[in-house]
Amino acid sequence: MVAPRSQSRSLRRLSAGSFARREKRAAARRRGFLFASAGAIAIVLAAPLSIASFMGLEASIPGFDSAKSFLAMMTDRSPGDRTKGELTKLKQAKIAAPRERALGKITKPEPPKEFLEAIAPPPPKLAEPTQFAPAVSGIAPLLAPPPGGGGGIVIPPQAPPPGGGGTPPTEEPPTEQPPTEEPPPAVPEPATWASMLLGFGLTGFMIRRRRRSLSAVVPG
Amino acid sequence: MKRWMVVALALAGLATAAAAAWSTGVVERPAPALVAKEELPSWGGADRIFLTKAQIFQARAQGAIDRDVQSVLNVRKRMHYGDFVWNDRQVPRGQVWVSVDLKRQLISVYRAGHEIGTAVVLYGAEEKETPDGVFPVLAKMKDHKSATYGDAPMPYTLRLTNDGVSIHGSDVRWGAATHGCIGVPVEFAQKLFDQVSKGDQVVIVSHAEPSRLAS
Repeated sequence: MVAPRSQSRSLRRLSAGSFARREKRAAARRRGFLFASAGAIAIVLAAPLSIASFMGLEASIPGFDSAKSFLAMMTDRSPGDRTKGELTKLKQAKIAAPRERALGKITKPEPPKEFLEAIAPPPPKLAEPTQFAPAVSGIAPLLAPPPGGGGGIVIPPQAPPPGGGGTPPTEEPPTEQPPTEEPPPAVPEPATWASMLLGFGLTGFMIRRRRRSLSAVVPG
Repeated sequence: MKRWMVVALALAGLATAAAAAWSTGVVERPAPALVAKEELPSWGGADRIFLTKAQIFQARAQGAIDRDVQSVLNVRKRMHYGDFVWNDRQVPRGQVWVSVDLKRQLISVYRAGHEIGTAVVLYGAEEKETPDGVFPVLAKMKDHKSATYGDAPMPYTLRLTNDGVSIHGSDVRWGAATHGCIGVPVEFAQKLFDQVSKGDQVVIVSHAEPSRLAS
């Protein structure tokens, strides 16, 4: 019976001492919290000011109406900068012609033979072949007239008739100069490359992920 | 221990912000006031703001104006298309000049160094841009019809260049532009027309930006 009492007394004494200490510590903590919160609030309040001054603007603090610069006053009254999109009455720029040509249809079926034969072989073109040949090279084999016709194109036999050789070229060929179209390049465009690489990357990623998830499952 | 670190961090942040404000503010801060405070006139009342020497110096250094301005109108709100302010009460007679700020879309009319009117302007769109520079008014035409643009009415025209750039009354509204002229509200154009005489200068500035190096 005695021991517990003494114990409790000592406990009480101890607790009294610790209570004071705890109180002290709590007070210090409160003070620290106060300091910290004051600092945080100050930072938050000062932020717009510091940002404004950093950007070279003049911060306007209500109550501290300092003298504004001339430009600042002008800016305050101005409706602002005119942006390009505002001009609704400007003429619309012409839509630019497409820069890339669609690929020619390579799978076009060959026209029937009778049809090809019916159509007269194209008139001889004296000046053009050198310019024209590279441009149509992709399509040429399909449209090429049958071998017999090819023989017909050759100029010498047709040329002898008087004047006949002279007239056809003057009538049409020079005006029919094809627009300088270039055959589509053999190398894919960068976008195509990119999408291909992306696809490979994705595939690899998925495989990797799957493998990892499998390995994660197996040991468990 | 931790909270002291927080406090220290907070104080450090505060100090940094203050340092930033101070160091960058140096550039924009007007020159320190003299010991004896500058005496500014006050006859304009609340409608007029007189500029201190420091403000004038700064504005000139920034390229906003190329001659001294003693006071500007106190425009309390942001102006919109078609708005203008005119107030020449008590402003003495004197030299009239006009300043046009294309970037801010503003025109200001000064008489004897005091601003007497300001308005929102229209200016030339791309391809037909309004030129920069100082232009004396070449001619005044009250009821001008455009020769170039199909008899378009251009009331109160002040011709600035020989190729047709001028200040004239027009319908100042959002989304509109001119063919190089400066369009002002018609009523404002009328007042301006009355003030300006042949030979008075018009200063057109398109790039007046507050540059840090300038001041």
